[in-house]
Formats: sequence, C-alpha cells, structure tokens
Amino acid sequence: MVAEGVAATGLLAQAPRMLRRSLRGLRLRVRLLIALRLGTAAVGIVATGAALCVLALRLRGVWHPPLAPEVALLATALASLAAGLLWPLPDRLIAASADRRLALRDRIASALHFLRAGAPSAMERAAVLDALDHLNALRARQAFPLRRPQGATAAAVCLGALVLVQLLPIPALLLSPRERDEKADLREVAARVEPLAKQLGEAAAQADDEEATQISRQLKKLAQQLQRGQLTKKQALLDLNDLEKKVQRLDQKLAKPKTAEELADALRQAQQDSISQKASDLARQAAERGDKEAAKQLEQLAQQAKQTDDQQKLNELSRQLEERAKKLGASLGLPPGLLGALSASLAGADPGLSEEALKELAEAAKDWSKELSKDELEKLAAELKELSKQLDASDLKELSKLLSEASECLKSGNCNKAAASLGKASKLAKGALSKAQLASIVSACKMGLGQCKGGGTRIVYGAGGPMPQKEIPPNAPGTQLFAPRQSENPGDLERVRAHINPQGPMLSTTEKGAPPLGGPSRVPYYEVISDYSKTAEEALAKEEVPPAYRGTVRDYFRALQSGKEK
Amino acid sequence: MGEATIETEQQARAQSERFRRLVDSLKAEVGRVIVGMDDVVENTLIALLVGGHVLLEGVPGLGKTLLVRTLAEALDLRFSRIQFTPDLMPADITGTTVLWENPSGEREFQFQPGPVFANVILADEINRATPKTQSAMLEAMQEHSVTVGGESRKLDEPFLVFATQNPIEMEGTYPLPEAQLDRFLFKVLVSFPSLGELHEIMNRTTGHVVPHAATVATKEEILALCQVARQVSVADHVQDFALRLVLATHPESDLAPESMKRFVRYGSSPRGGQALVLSGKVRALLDHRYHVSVDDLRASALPALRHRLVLNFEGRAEGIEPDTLIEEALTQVARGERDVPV
Repeated sequence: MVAEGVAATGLLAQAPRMLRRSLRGLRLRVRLLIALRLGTAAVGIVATGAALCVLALRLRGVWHPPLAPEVALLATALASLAAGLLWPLPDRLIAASADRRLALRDRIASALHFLRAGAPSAMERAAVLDALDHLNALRARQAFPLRRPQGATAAAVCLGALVLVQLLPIPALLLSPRERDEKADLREVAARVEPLAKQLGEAAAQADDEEATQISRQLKKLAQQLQRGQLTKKQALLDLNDLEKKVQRLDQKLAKPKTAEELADALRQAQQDSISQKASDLARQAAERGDKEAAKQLEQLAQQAKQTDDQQKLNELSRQLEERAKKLGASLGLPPGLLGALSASLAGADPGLSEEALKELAEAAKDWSKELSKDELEKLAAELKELSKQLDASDLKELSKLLSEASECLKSGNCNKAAASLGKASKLAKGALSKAQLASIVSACKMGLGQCKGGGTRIVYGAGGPMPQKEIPPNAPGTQLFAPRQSENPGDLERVRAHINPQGPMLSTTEKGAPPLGGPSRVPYYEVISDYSKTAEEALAKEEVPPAYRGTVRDYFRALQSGKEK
Repeated sequence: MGEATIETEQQARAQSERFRRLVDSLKAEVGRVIVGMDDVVENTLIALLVGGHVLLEGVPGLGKTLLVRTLAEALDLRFSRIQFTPDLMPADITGTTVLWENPSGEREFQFQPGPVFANVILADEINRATPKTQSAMLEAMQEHSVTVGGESRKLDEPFLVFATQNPIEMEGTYPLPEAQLDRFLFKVLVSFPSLGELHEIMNRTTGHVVPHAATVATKEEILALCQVARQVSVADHVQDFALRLVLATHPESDLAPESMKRFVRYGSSPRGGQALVLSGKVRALLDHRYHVSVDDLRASALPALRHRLVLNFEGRAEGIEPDTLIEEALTQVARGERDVPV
C-alpha cells in the first residue's frame, strides 16, 4: 500500500509533463488537419476564381493572361498550411475535443483543470491518475482521424474546371467572325511551320546539334499552339520573330562557302555528265568488239542521262551502267552511283547511302592493283581529285581531304592505302553529310519562317491593332507606300507594304521573297522625309509599332536619311 | 461519518470501489423484487445516495410503492407510508401534541410524532391532499426538521421522501406548487412494463413464495456513501455546462432555444443545477470515475429538470412535453461548446 502510494506520488509529479506531451502531439495533428481543411477550401475558391478569370480573358482573346493560376494555387496552399500551423488551440480545447472523440468522459480536460487549479484533493488526484492511465492508450490518429475534407470534391471539380478552361480550345461559337478569321490564319501559319520544325528536328537529330534540336522543339511547340488557337496574333508574330532570329543565328553559325543544295546540284550534274560520258565510252568499246546491240543500248542510256535531272532516275541509270560495264568486263572508273549517293544525302536523303557507297568503293579499291591498268588508275585518281575539289568548296573539307589522299595514293599505285583513305572517308561521311544537311535545312527554315511572318502571309497589322481584312485591297482609297529593303540573305527581298488611309487606320504588311512593286511617286521624298521620320519616331515612342517592326522602321528611315544626304 | 473522509488517492479508489460494490448489491436486492424499471431504480438509488427526494409519476399498479418499500427493506431504514387524501390534515403527517397522564398521575403535553418521523417516506398520491397539507411536507423535505407547537424537531437521517402521483386522474387533485416540486431532486416517470417484464411480474407475484429483499447496508453506511459521493470532483467546464443548461431553461436567457422562449414561463431554479451536479457525482462513481463528466449531466438532465419547468399557457395548450424542451436545451448548450474545426 505504501509502495503503491509512493509510485502514485511519482506519477502525479510527472502528470503535468505527460499531459503536456500528449496534448502537444494532439495539437500538431489537429493543426495539420486544419491546414488540410483550409487548404482544400481555399484551393477550391482560388481555382474557381482563377477559372473564371482565365475564361473571361480567353473569351476576350487574351491567351497569356498576366495571372498565373498555379502560382496563386501554390501561394494559397502555403498560406493555408501556415494558417493551420498557427491556429490557436488552447490545451483545454484540445483535451475536451479528444475526450469527446474518444469517449473519455472528460477525463483529460478534468485532469488538466485539477492540475492547473493547484493543490488537488485526494479525489482529484485519483482523477488525474485515472486520466494518465487512459493517456497511455491515447493515439492522435484515433482521436483525429484523417478524413476527406468536406469540400474536397468541390475543390477537385474546381481544379478540374481550371485545367479544362486552360487547355481546351474556345469553341468557335463563342468567337467573333474576326477572331475566327484570325485563328484560321494562324492555323495556316501553323501548317507551314510544322513541316519546317519536323525537317529541322530530323536533321538536328542526325547531326546531333543541340541548339538546332531546341529550336525545332520550340518551332513544334509554336506550331501546336498556333494550331490549337492558343496564341493571339500579336503573340504569334513576336514568337515567330524570336524564332526567326534564333534560326538566323544558327544559320550564320553553320553558314559555309557553298550551300548543301548547290553542292548537291553540282554533284548531280557531275553524275549526269559521268553517266553520259562513260556510257558513250562503253558504247564505243562495245561497237569495237562488234556487240552492236549493247552499243545501241549504251548510247540510249547516255541520251537518257543527258535528258533527265531526276536523282532517282540518274541513280537507276548508274546502276544499269555499272551492270553493263561488268558484263563487258570494262572498268568504269569512279562509279557514278557514288556521286548520286552524295548528292542525294546532301539533298536530304539518308546520309547512310553515301557511307555505304564509299564503303563499297573502299572494298573494291583493295583489288584495283590487280584489276586496273596504270592508265585506268590514273583516270580514277583524276576523278577522285575532281570530286575532292567539289567537296572542298563546301563544308565537307575533311571528306575532301580523305578523297584527295586516296587520289594521290592511286596515282602512286598504292591501292591499299587508297582503300584505307576511302574507308576512313566512308566512316566520316555520315556525320559530315548530316551537318551539311542540317545547315541546308536551317537555311530553308529561316526562309520558311520569314515567309510565315512576312511575304505571302496574311498577317496584317494596322495602327489600331489587328485588322479584319486579310490583304490590303488593291483599290483601297488612300496613299500606297512601299519600303523595299535588302534582307541579310542575298537574293531575298523584304519590304513593308503600307497603306495610309486618312479616314481610318494605317494598314501594313511585311512581305518576303516577293518581287518589288513599283508605284508612282506623288511627292519628292526629300520634302516629306523629315515629317515622316518624325511621325515614325513618335509612333515608336508611343509603342504603336509592334516590337518586331521597330528595327525595320528605324533602318528604313536611316537609309532614307543617308540617301538624302548623298 | 468520519471514516468516509478521504485523504489519499488510494483511499479515494478504495472508497469508490466500496461505493460501487454496495450499490451493485443494492441493485441486485431490489432486482429480486422489482422487475425491470432499471432506469427508475437507478434514478431512485442516485437520489437516495445524494439524499434527495423523488417524485414518481405513473399510473397505479406499476410497483412504485413496492419499489420504495423494497429500498427501505434493503437498507434497513424505517419506512412509513402516507396515503394523501383531501381530508388529510398537516398534523396527520407531522404529528401532534396530546395531553398525557404519566404513571404518577400528572398530566402533561407530549408530542406524538407523525409518520414523517421515518427514514423513507412514501407520500402516496401526494397531489390528492390540499395545498395546506402538502405544504406540511415543505419544511420536512428542505430542512429535515418539523416544527410543531413552536418546537422544532430534527428528523432522523437519512430522510427521503418518495412521492407518487397519477398523471391521468386529475379530477379532485391539487397540483403541487412550484416551491414543493422544486424540492424534489428527481421527477421519475414510471412507464408500463413490457410483455416480458409482465410475465416475470406474474411469475414472481402469483406463486407461493413472494420474494423479499435482504438488508445489504445500514443507514450509517448509506450516510457514509453519501459523503463519498459528495467528494467527487467537478471541473470548471463541466460545472459550466450544468449552469448553462439551467440558464437555457429560462426563456429570457440568450442560451435558451426558441422553443423554450415560446413555451416556458419559468425555468429551473439553482436547485436544478445542484441536482444535476450531485446526481452526476454518483453516476461518475458508478462509472469508475472520480470526476463528473458532461455525459453524467446529460443522463440526469431529464429527471432533474423536467419538474422544474413551468410551461406557459401556450405550452400547456400545445401539449408540449418538458422533456422535449430539455432535449432542445441540451442540444443548444452542446452547440455552444467550442470544438476544434476538424
């Protein structure tokens, strides 16, 4: 009995600490649950508000609203967590609540009261000990189980609505005719951008060019956004301009003395000449041997080669010529198929074709010392030298060097070394040709984007913003202005075609690749240049001119100014 | 009395254990005679253990008198029954002074105690007596003393009044005044037994052996238990609940529900609060606790408050039951309790 009393006294001394610890655990759980509940409600409300705002902005044609729903939602969730964790929860409240939830019949709350009142009576001490017995079995998760907050379903619906409002296209029914036309124009632009992006992406992957890959991805994304109608016309123009600049930078980086297309054309021409020449030579040899039928067919083949520009046809003729030469047992020299493969690879076909052709040539070169005469070897060396020169003019310098080495080796009769050089060339061919191909596609891409943004497109801007008409009508009243200028690419013309209408807004369009249009001068330009320049500067200052055109406008007036001075 | 004073928590545990054992044996003995009526028996015992009086309301023949008599038997208490009738006089209850000749031939006035001088009084059909006679019980019930001929006489403790009244037969009755009703700790409604209970009643009362309760406690032990019960602790928030419940029965209180404001003329007196807390203490001990909980107060709310509500004309005309109003008050007070918002 005495021992029991001593133990009870010790337990009573620890009772306040034990109670506090239990209540602390309960309080933390309650605060987390409050945070969850607050968060659910607040996220639901914010999601609803954000969904309504986004919907309103989208219906007004603003796709990129300044409001960022995800930021607002995150801030709300964090604020709810903070509010929950700072929620005032006195001990008595927690104790009473736990008593109620665990059917403890006010044991904890009463014990807390008795301990705080000080000098508890014997009965009160017994009550405290009784509460401590029950505290051992107390589990916070049992008292305050995690349940789905009341508004969870509503909050989920609101979030879903927000996602839908952001992702789903606005039905055409809700758009005005002008907006529908705009979206249609942008979809046309998307249709042009998409193949460019695809082509650039494939070339970039083959050439393993990170920058080009990124640009192709951005182009693809832009095309998707345009296709889905997620961009306004202004935003589309800005994005296109941005991407065009990036492509220009890439083009400058990849630019080589001779473009891949030109080299491909030159090689195709060389293949054509080679087939024609070699077919005629073989025909003569066949005639000398008395094989008139073969001679006749070879003459026809030479004629066909002269008449066609088609790469596939030329390749087919090359194959036929090689078969004929094999039958006649004559040496063909450098196979025209190799030229065809190189040309095709540069024009966009699989660079593996060239690799394969060079590999076959390297294999054949091992036996040339036995099969070919010295004259034939020299002739082959000359042909390789010629090919090397052609490649040297482009960015395929490494390949050119190896072919030149092979040529030198053949001249000196060292066919094995020539075979080794050709083998190296075959290994190098794929990568080098991919790079050349990429440069070509980047160039094409740049042109394509320019066309999307300017000439040929129907994105028309007026001083008051996007205009409903697709083109400036030829008979529109007012004064027509043309501002041609030389673009950075030789041969490309870029011009701003504008239409000043005193009764309405000014219409303007940038056209690329279109022939210059002549128009009658009404007033000598030196009389009006100052006024026009000043007006333009004012317009620029008031930000009435889209950012993409500001440089063009300044360049234009600078050029005119310098002309005046001259 | 002295041995019931609790000094240590071990004593508290031992005394409360003794309390429970005795009450359990008392229930068992009463249960040998009385069939069913668990709620009535429990409330009666609670009233007994806090020294409170009980008003039993029920139709005749439900065993109200038998219950009280059995209780008296089981506790070895002096029992007396007073059948209240319209011609019953106050002196018939309290006793009177008569002229008495002693053995030496001298005559003197001597007080002849009435039936009120017992431990357990059964005031049968109390509402049949006139208000004057009813009021004779007032002093006895409240002060536990009787004043006759200018001389006040203390009644023997424990002094418990168990009054009965018939709720149906109202003709020729005198409803108890509010002041007297307020002196009853509980008003217990005795309901008609179920079929199973009726079978058991038939079996027990129509055989050749009539069951009797054995004595399980003396009156001293009962008084000691009363002292133990009064030492049970009440935390502030629990007492606050009891007092807010009492206030909620007052139509002018902000805590009162709408129905209370509409149908009640007067609410419970502070005695209602005392009844709640005292009965809660006994319930706590019976539930192996040393403190009163809100649930104890809820359990006692109906018997402790139902007779303390005075309905207004509209309430009586609408046939409103005080129990309904008290349930609403309980809901209202519970709604006012703060809880964590999860």
